[in-house]
This record gives sequence, structure tokens and C-alpha cells, in this order.
Amino acid sequence: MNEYNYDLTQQKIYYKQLENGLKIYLIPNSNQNHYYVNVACFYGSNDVEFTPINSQEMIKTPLGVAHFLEHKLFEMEDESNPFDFFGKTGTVVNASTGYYCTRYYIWGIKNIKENIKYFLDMIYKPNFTERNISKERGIIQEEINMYDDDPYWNLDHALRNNIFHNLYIKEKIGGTVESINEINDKTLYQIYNTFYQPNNMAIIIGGKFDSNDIMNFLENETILKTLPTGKEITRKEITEPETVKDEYKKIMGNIIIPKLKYAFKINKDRFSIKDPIILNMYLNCIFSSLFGSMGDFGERAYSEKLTTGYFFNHSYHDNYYVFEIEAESDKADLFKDLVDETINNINVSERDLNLHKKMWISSEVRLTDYIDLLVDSVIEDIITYNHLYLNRSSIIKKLNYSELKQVIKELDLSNNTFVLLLPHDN
Amino acid sequence: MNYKCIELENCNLYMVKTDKFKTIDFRIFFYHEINKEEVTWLNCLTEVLLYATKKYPTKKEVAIKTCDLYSLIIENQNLRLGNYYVTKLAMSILNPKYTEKGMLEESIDFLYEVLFNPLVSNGSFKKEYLEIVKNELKAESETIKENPRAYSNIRLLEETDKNEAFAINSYCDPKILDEINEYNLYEYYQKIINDNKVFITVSGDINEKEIAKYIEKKLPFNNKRVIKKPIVIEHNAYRKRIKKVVEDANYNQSKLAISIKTKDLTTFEYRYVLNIYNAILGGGSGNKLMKIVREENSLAYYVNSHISKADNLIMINSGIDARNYDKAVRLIKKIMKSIEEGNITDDELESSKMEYISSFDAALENADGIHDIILGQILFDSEDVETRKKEILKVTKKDIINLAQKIHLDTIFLLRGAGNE
Repeated sequence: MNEYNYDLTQQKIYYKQLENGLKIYLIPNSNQNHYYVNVACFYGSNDVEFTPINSQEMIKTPLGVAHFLEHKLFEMEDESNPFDFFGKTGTVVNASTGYYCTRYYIWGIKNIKENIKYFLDMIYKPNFTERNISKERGIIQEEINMYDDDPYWNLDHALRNNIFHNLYIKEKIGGTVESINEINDKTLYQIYNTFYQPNNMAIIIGGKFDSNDIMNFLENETILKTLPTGKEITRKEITEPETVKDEYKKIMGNIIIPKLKYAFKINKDRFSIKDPIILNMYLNCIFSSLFGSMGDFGERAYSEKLTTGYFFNHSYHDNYYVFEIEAESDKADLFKDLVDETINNINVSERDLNLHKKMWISSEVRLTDYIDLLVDSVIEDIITYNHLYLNRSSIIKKLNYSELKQVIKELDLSNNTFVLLLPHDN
Repeated sequence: MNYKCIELENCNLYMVKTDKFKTIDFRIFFYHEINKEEVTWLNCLTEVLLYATKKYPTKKEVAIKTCDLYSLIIENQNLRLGNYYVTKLAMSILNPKYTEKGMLEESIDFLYEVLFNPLVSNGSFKKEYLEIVKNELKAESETIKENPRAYSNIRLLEETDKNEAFAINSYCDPKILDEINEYNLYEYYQKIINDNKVFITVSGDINEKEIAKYIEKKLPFNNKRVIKKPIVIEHNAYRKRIKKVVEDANYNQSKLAISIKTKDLTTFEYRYVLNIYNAILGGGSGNKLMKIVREENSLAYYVNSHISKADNLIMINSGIDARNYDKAVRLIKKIMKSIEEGNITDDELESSKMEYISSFDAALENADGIHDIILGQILFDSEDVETRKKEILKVTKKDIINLAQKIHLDTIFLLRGAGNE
């Protein structure tokens, strides 16, 4: 296996790719009491259309199936209950489904090898039956109801629907009550056999363990050794236009004070900077300087009573950078006007850039105290960049003001959308 | 985890020297007997103090300064614990060995700024900033109902006993907010900063003497206040007939919230048996509520129980369809009865103990966990971590059965949704 170091803090990370394509990352840290084992499958709610393995024809799967499958992997071949098994050693097991990745993890203090063995059995010996699928429908139905009742989830969903024409991330990850009724064991096996292959998966372990010992253990684990070598996966190529699908939408929800989301779809291909991580950093810096606590927008928005709380974030999808502001406001029009005024007069100083560099490097240092977060960031890097960045602080140090100005020059915020969430009796 | 207590002139300082973190973390805990009106005043005051200070008179300048101090993080949380209202001011900095010399002192100076050098002129806070804070707090209290789970728990506690401290929630009262102005809030500040109950906790790779010396020099705390009431609420009585409350709401899913009183527990039961009982019921991984209500009967996606020790209450929460209310309640009662009758497997008992122990190992890995453990030891007189890990192993099935006799279902609150009609 290969040994690498994170810069600044010298945290070690070991990497090996098995013959069958499975990638293993080990991040040992003896300051921790625990281990955190993640198995990531790079398949998520966005992967609706694909060609199943050993087939020639592309299929379209029901919405919510990635999430449903995640639930069903907890059914063991021997019908034992993973929660009971792991509970015996005080170990936590859980999973989550995202747009591009489904993650399974265990978090524990003792019996790492026995627990990893059972965990791998859980993931690599699927047991989908009509009976256990129909039982799960009622549970997932309640989960869907819980989210459907949440106005913030609905606001977010409406926004994604407005932004994206074609990418399936515009759909709800859990699907709908109707769509999950279409799921059967045949579909689950098709998906499992296509995506849950070693060349599309990674095991990332952080915390307290001996790297050599664990790497040896994994390499010799029968279940991993006998996995067939991964075949190429054919996902449907989805073109997503630069424009937003809809520029405005009004929805109703169980809220008392109106909320809004204002998002900007930015095509990264239009910038002269081609390195995605550097471009992302400049864009993050620009928006944070304008809308963060060091900018003027916030001061005005609050003192003019345009909002009683707002925040912003960004996300990356394909070649798009999406910046969004969410606010609680009963003066939505005026709030939007202030945002527009701010983005039409972008003023970011060299001091702003330097303050952000200081802030980000401080975060990089803090991150290494929390191995779980470091593991999460490894997975995020693979999803976003298909590359692991161990030298973020060096990249941050090299950011400069003239490049930032160039990015501002090339920034086009004309593709945007606004969603307003109003109380029911409005 | 070992901590050292140093008695400063005006308050106690508890320090945990550890090289596990690259940060140095401070927590300042103010606490006193809870009083419904004062909740609003204190929430308002803490927000105003964090908004701006005399040296950094705008939010922007505060942000720039904290960034300059290598991303100093400062946060406030006000929460009710039993009969007390606790204000927790947390500050986290990178250890100066990673940044530059002088940062420790400058950070403590900044803390002084926030607490003792507020933006005041002519005997008042800045009216404009107070208005902004009041607006936000008002909106927060007006939107409680937007979070049905939180709302249900607040209503549950009100219905359980409106005269107890747990019926007081930590949201502001808009009518009281209207009474607060920039002058009387400053008067309140002067009163409370000179008469409070406070202690400080610090963790990190620190020089204990050096920090104690600088804190004593820079932060003029008082710690004079005398508190008569104990923090823990003891129940004098319990209901023979369960109280049922239903409130309608425009949601698909219904929220079920149930309160359970624990009464006359021995010290060992309160400290240890109760945790295991709760883990088996609905707090641990293989818990009975999940198994029966969710897995066997598909009635819920989430169903769990948690203990509020300071209130001597256990609360059960679940999201269900209104049509399944009777069935869910029946199942829950059945589960509680079965524990009373000794229906506890060896695995359930062992797993619960292992998770209890794991939870400490988890807590000790982050600053928040460490500081909360110290808070528990000071306010609740809990034993040290090593003792707790040993004592929990002594809990037997018989202990749990005995405890189950002292558990009394009190109130069932249903926030009834319309369902998928």
C-alpha cells in the first residue's frame, strides 16, 4: 500500500486498490478512541437511467430505488439483525443515500475485525425478497410522509426542480409513495449487480487501528477476495443546459413566516481557470465575502428588516456550481432586490481574500481533530473531483487577488431562479 | 479524564489538560433558577452582547476580528436544565503553537470584550441592534409550530404539568420582548453581570497556571448568587389515569409525544438503572420500540425514547399515521408492561451497557463532550467517567424490573395530521 501525508498536520493516509478495482483508504489516528468504517458505493438517486450489467438496453428505474436498496441491504442472509449484532459491542451502524453516492458505516470502539467481517457480509451478500420488500414499503412511506410534511424539504425540492431540466437530482431522493410501489426484487438485483461492483466502491476507515494489520485483514477477507472484477458501467449521458428550467415558483407550506430561496446556476466551463478545486475556492470566496458576516449585505438586510434570518451555501453538479441563498422574510421582493444590488456591484477586496485564506487554513487544521469529518471529506473529494486532495492548505496559500478578479470578470449570474414558500392561508 | 479545579478569586476554573486537540476550548456557564419572564430577558441580552462590543461596534468588525484571531469561534446557547436556566458561552481557538504567540491572551481579551465591554452609550445599548435582535427572537417564537416535532414536545411538557419548570420553554415571549428597550436591558445587564452563578471549563494542550492567571486577571466574574432550589425536579405525585391531549394540525403525518414520570428512585437507579431501562425501551440500537412499532408493525419510520434526568422524565416520540394512533399506543403500553414483567434478554442488557460505555468514549473525543461531562459532574454531582463505566456493569435484570415499578405513564399528546386522504 502507498503512504501519503496531509500537509500542515502530517496526518497519514494509506491507499491501495485491489485487483478487482476496490479502493481502500486508511486514515489511522491514535488520538481517537474509536474506528469509523465507511463503505461507499458511487451510485445514488441521480443514476436513474443506465444499462444493466450483461444487457444491451438502457433502463429507467423508479424514483427512490437507491434509497430503498440502502434500506434493504440491512437484511442479512441468515436473517440476523445488524442492529442487534453491532449493539452487542456498543457499535453504531447506519447508512445514507445521496445524489451520487450511497454510504454505509459502522462506528465503534471494540472488535473491529469481527464487526468489519459482519459489515462486509451485510453489504456483499444481498438478500432481497418480495416479503422483505413489501414490509419496508410501510416504513419508507412514513419516512416520505415525514419529509413531505417538512416545508424546508419541499422548498429545496421546488428549487432543484426549477434549476435543473434533466439531471435527476431534481427528484426527491426517497421517491414518492407511488414510485416505491413499483420497486421489486428484480429491479433491486439489477441495480445491485450493476453498481455495487468493486470498481465502483471504496472502503474508507478512520480512527484507532493498526494500518498494516487492517490492510492485511481486508486483503485476505474471503468476501472481498471473491468479488468478481468490476465491469464498466454505462450510465446514461445526460446533458444539462446552462439555463434554469423555471425562473420563478410559488409554493404553499405549513409555515408561519414566508421563506425564499434564490439560486444561481453557474457554468464552470466558461471560466479561464480550468482547475475545478481552485475555481470552486474563488467562487466560494466571492460569495462568502459578499453575503457572509464580513460583508455589507447582512448588515443592511437585518437593519432594514428584510429578513429575520438567512444563510447561503453552494453545491457542485457536473460542470455547474450552484450558489443559493435561503431566507426567512416577509419582504421577499425587497430582499431579492438587495441581493440583486449586491451581485450587480461585486466588490471583493484583497483583504477579503486574505481573511478567507486565514479562515480556511484554520479549518484545515481543525479538521484533523475529527477523523470522522476527514473520512467524510475523502468521500466528498472522490465524488466531486475523483481525486483526493491532501494539500488543500498549499492550494489555499497560492490563491491570489489577480486570479480572483479574473473570476469576477467572467462571472455570469444571469441563470437564476427564485422560489417563494408562503403559508397556507395566504 | 482528569480535570483540575482551581478556585479563582471570583469563580471556579476546571481545566482538562490534553494533547488530543489542536484547539483550546473555553466554556463559561452561567446559571440560576429559571423564571418564565427572565428567559426572554436573558435570551435578548446574550444576543445583544454577541452582536457588537465597544471595541468592535459592528457585526462586521466582530467578524473580521474573530477571523484575524485565526477563526476564533464564539457561540452562545441558553437552555433549561431541570429547575435551572443555563447560559453557555463557548469559545474555541486554535492552539497558539499552530498560529502565533500572543493569540491566547488576545482571545481571552476578546472574551472580555464580549462579556464586560458591551456597546453602550448614555446608559443604553444601541437601539438599532436591539431592534434587530428582538425581530429575530420574535420570529423564532412565532415559528415554533413550523417544527412539529419540537412543538409537540413543548406542548407535551405543558400538559404534563403547567406549574413545573419543564413547562417553561426557552423561546421568547413576544409580549415581554415588547417591554424590553435599550435602557432597561442595560439595567438588567448591570444587575446580572454583578450577581450571578458562574464557572469556567477549559480544555486543550494548556499551561494550567498560565491560563488561570490570565483569566483571573482579565475576567471579573462575581459568582455571588445563592441558589436555593436543587436542579433536579422531583415529582410529588403521579397520575393514576393517563391524560390524553389531541391537537389538530395541517400535516400528513401525526406526531406522538408521551411523557413518563420516574419517582422515588434510589441514587443507583437514577444514575445507572434508568439509562439501561431507557436504552432497552427506545434509546439503544436494538430497542423494543424500534423492533415492535417500526420493524414488526411498520407503523413508523422513527420511534424512540430519551431521558430528561433533570426533569425525572422519560419521553417517547414517534411520527405515525393518525389512523394507527390506538394501535401504536397499545403497543407502547404492552412493551412497557413486558419490561416490567422481566421480558429482557441477556443481549439487550449487555448491548445497552456496551453502548453506555461507548458513549463516553465518543464524548471524550470532542471538546463539547468533555465540557458537558464536567457540567454534569458539577451540576448533577455525577461520578467520574471511570467509575460510571464500572458501575453500569452492575445493573441486573432485577434492577430494571424494580425500576419499572417506579415508572408512570403520564400524558399522551397527539399532534394529529389529516393523513393521506
